[in-house]
Amino acid sequence: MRRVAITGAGQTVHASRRPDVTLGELCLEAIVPAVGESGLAWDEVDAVVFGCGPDLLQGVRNAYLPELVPLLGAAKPMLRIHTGGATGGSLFQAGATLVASGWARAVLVVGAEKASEPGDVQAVLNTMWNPLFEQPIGLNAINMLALQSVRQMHVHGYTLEHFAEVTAKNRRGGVRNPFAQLRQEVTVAEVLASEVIAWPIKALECCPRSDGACALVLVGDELAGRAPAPVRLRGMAECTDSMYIGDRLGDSLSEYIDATTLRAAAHDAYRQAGIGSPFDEIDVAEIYSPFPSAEMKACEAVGFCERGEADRLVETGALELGGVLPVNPSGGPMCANPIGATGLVRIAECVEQLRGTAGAHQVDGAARAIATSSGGSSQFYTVAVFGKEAP
Amino acid sequence: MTTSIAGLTVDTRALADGESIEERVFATVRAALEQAEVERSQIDAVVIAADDVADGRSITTMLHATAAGAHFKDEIRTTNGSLTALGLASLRVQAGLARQVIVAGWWLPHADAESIAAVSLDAGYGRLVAVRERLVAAPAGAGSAACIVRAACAGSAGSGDGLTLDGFCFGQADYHAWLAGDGEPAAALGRLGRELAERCAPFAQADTAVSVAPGDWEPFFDGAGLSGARRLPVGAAHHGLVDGLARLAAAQLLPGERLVVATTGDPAFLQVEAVSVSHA
Repeated sequence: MRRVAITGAGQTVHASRRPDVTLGELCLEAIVPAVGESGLAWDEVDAVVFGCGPDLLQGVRNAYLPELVPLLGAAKPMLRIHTGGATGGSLFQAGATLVASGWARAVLVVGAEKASEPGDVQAVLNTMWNPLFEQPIGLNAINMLALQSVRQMHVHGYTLEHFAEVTAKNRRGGVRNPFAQLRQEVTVAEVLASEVIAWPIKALECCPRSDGACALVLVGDELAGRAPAPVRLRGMAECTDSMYIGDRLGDSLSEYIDATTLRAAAHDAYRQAGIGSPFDEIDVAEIYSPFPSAEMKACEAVGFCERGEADRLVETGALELGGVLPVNPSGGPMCANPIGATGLVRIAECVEQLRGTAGAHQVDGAARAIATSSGGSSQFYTVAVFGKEAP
Repeated sequence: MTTSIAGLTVDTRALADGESIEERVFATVRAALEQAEVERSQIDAVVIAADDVADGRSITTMLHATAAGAHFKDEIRTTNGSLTALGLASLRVQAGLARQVIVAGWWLPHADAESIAAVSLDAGYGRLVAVRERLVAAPAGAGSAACIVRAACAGSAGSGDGLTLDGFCFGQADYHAWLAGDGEPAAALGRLGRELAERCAPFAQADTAVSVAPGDWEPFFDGAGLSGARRLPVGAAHHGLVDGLARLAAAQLLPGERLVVATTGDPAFLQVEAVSVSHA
């Protein structure tokens, strides 16, 4: 496998609505700085890998055709990847595959979303479930995660206060991050007092609906030196579970609140990266967690603690900026969630951390980072591990 | 590293009454595994070609990825087409990310091809001005397809191994030129041919057979330098995302011939893709 480096990263300021730009123009806001940082001429980029969330959110099938092709030109091959919320992570994996195999020397990876376009995002997302069993009960992204939160409370003893603490931590991160959509601090008391959306999830614990984009430039060794501080891919993996949440309860192969497939993907990525003790060897994590219970679940799955012990990480402040292992110092998806780009934003944030350019949310001395993404009914997971040094 | 294709299975029937996409995908992938003499436990990854709009879902792989063998596997989905999925699977093997990969695709739409193609156009302009006859460039077919991609040197070659992948590429038409009827998709087909020729060992026209989708593919033949190659029967229908694998399965080659397949992943010919394969 050829080594892969990230030499350019760009993202938009994420917002609830960007009526001033098209999806393609939104992409350009991320592409221009990413390609500029890479030190490459546009002609040196061999291919574009594009992703956005479900076509039904844009109202256009394969939106890159009318949106991005006219802006970037038709000459470069464009690959469209779609794995729901995991799209950003899958985009990266597809782009890295093109480079690692030698098919391309340099690839531009772009994720974008205009979630403000449809009238009712949750109504669109309801159509992703089985039409006979799950759509009729009104399942959507919020109540799907509420089921998870309830089960964590029942099995692990997690409390409303734990979820509120995670929320307050991430919102403090959003305040420090100039790209975040939600940049107002909230207290635990305010979170607990906010309206119940789907018990136990409160209004202040819900990720926002975002318009935004992110772009990365991936290259092989021969072009990595063009950029002053290339970030190196150390390991990556994906893993898919059953859609049916009911298949993941009790004694089944996987467990909904364990994120079993995230655990498997992390194990594989760590093996590639030579990481044996993630809590000790990872310096910063950007986790795809649009709700606080998802962050606690992911911390267990990627090996930051034992099963059911994420509450200890929250109580001790380990996940805070300045803590032992900062998680989502950018504020994470709870402060900006442009679905098709969210997983890629996680990686862009890791890039900034490893370069030492994350500004007010910089983790001192960060040398190894992990980014995850999640999609579908918490069934698609990707993991990527990065370092400052080549493997 | 060269990769081989095993167990190529194609079913070009539309869904029967009472048959679900999930059932068809499962049956197609199972047949591919059996033909390739591979257990699902020996599979490392799954690459899928599928389309949400055709399937009437916001994320069609949520339900259908497991039917395609992806439960607890590395899985990714492209909407470009099945030849692109085949190529991406090959690259995952070449990069050392997987040893054996299922490629699965389906085009079993619940709507007519014209309606699906129209949704590919922007709502503010394209859908108003597009010439309806060009939305569906060929009579619409359907189908599901699957195969196994693995290293050609793997010692576990089953009876289904028959083709090695020489190279692949993909591309797209200039959207506004396509709308205006100004040289597209011809220009895209020309680019596709040139890129395929650059990515493969030189074609010997006398020893190469070419299978393309219905339509005017002369720019592709010219671009690839294959104007004199043997042209296989085009067939009447275009099978959407699985058209490429369907053509690969249907090709009747002469001894020693290489095969080039070029097609489009969508009814309007906005996305194009091509592969070159040889007998193992």
